[in-house]
Amino acid sequence: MNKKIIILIATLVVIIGGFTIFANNKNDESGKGPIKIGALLCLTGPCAEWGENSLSGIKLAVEEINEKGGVLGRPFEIVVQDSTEATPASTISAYRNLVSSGIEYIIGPSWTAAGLALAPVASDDVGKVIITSPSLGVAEFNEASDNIFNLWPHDDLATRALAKYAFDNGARNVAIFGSKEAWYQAQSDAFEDEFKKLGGTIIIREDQPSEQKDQRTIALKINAAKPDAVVFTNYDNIGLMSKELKNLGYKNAQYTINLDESRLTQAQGSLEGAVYVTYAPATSDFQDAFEKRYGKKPGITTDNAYDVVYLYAKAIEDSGTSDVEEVNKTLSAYKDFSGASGNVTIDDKGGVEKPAVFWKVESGKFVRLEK
Amino acid sequence: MEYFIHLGVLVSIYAILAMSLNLVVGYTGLLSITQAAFYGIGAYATAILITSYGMNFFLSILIGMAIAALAAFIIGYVLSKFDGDYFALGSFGFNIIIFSIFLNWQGLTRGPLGIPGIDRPSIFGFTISDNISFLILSVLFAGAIYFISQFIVNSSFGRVLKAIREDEKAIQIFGYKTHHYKLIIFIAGAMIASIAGSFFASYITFVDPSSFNLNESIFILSIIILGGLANNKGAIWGAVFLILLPEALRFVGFPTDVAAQMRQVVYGLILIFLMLYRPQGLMGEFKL
Repeated sequence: MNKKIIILIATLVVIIGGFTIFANNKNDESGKGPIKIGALLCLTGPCAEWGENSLSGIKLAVEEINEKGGVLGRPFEIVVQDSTEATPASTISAYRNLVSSGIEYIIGPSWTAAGLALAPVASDDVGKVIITSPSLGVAEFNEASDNIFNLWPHDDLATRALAKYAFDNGARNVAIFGSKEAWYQAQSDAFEDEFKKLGGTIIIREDQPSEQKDQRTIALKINAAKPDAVVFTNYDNIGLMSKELKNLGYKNAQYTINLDESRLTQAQGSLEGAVYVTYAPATSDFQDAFEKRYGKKPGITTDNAYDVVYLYAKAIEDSGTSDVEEVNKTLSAYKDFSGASGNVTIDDKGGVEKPAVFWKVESGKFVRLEK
Repeated sequence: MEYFIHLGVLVSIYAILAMSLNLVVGYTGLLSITQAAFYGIGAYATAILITSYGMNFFLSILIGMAIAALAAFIIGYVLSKFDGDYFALGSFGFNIIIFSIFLNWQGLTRGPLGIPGIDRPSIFGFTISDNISFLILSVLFAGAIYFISQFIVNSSFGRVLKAIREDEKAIQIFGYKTHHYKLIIFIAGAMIASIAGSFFASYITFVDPSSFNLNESIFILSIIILGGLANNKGAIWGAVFLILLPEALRFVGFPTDVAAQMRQVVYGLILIFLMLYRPQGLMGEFKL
């Protein structure tokens, strides 16, 4: 095929794509059209379950709000972009795509690495964009700027609670299975720091790349160390490591921070009895509404993402305008919020506080522990 | 408009990277899978020098190039003992080593948490804070590197490189110390890649190891294969195509529930189609 034709086709794709931005997504400057919400979520890759769950929560919230007449008489409209959280450049491309389309309210990104990369870029858009993550557990994200918020508590606080729980339940020599990725490392560091302060010992800590799926050697090392408990902060490979440990005859305690259905399935029963820390479950009203609409239970982050939409709606209503600067001021002034994810206290840096809750895996189901 | 400017900057950065690798792979025939490591060295050098020492961006580029040159000298000296597939495997290994240093030397690089807050360049007190000025700067640098690369490949030195690619033993018979030429071009490629890294760091204002892993080296290699080996214009077009194609696919009207996944499927299919019908790339002079 003639090389000029190939170059022409490529150029056409770009031009058509560019034209489509302006044809379909240009901002309604009359102030009467829909208020667009950008869903900048991880829809491919290891975080896809979180992104997909968040998107389903956003869709439900938008449907409910629009059925009641919208906000200030204007419906919400979702514009979805995969944040492609493999590299910062791809997340920033997706963000810029949304912002260039005139979208001022963004929900996302899903995980920490993308959030840390996006925070400095979003900080330059104060007064133009408000961005709130439903699932990103580190303070550096929302503390980067006044227009960045986070409806997921800072996980290192829950992790410290887990360290205390493990110590109170008799663990003194613990193994940590972690990874050298931002969130995983933050949790490993928090657990180790708190556990040592309590008087415990970390007898072995293994940080493995999350793309490494063969965990046999590490499992042998951990099992040989005979820990009282194993703490999994390598979130991607919880199930794989747990299976390897079970195959080696490990029977002691297992702890982790957060747990979702896909990791439980990956474990194939080896996480039975594991205890994990997360936050209060979605309210029963929300769970019922979601199950009625979609025929399945909500997953992790669904309630948080749902609440972000309602938080935006409340802030716009209370401001009496969809002007971003005014809405930002209103949002920053909130001290608490009550929604599908329960009651949260909003701090003055755009983050939230929620009490940590302990759960246990029993008969393949997540059972809340009353402590 | 900001979105297109952003894409323009990325294209410029990847064009610089592609031209740097083309000198090594396309013109000299050395299958190197380590370019992301030098890209990362430039990026981290700029990040650390600007955030910790308040150094000027352009001075940080020079220091980044010096560090990349030193690393390339050491790596290139070892790799010069290998040929063909062994060279590729060796370079693969070095990329992993450098990535591991970025990830684990936390006192210097902050590991997976990365280094935020990297300032934009400033010239004589004027800060290039807006993206369009940054785009102009990056395009100027890409243009300068294009002319430098063309000068190299069209010179007598460049003719020796091509001869090494075609038949190294034949040119050795004429008394050329080919391992010197290979080492020099490997170092030159590394220095140019580090310039791209410096621009990346200053533009994104954040660096972390995830941008400089093996996948990135393979992506840069894909750019020059698709664009066409041993052709600098092809390297630029390859960067244009591989950066803009996935972005253009964001606007194809797939159903929301499967849009993200379908984009990746279509992207892969287009690449396969192009390789089937144009295996030498858009403007290539030879195939690997």
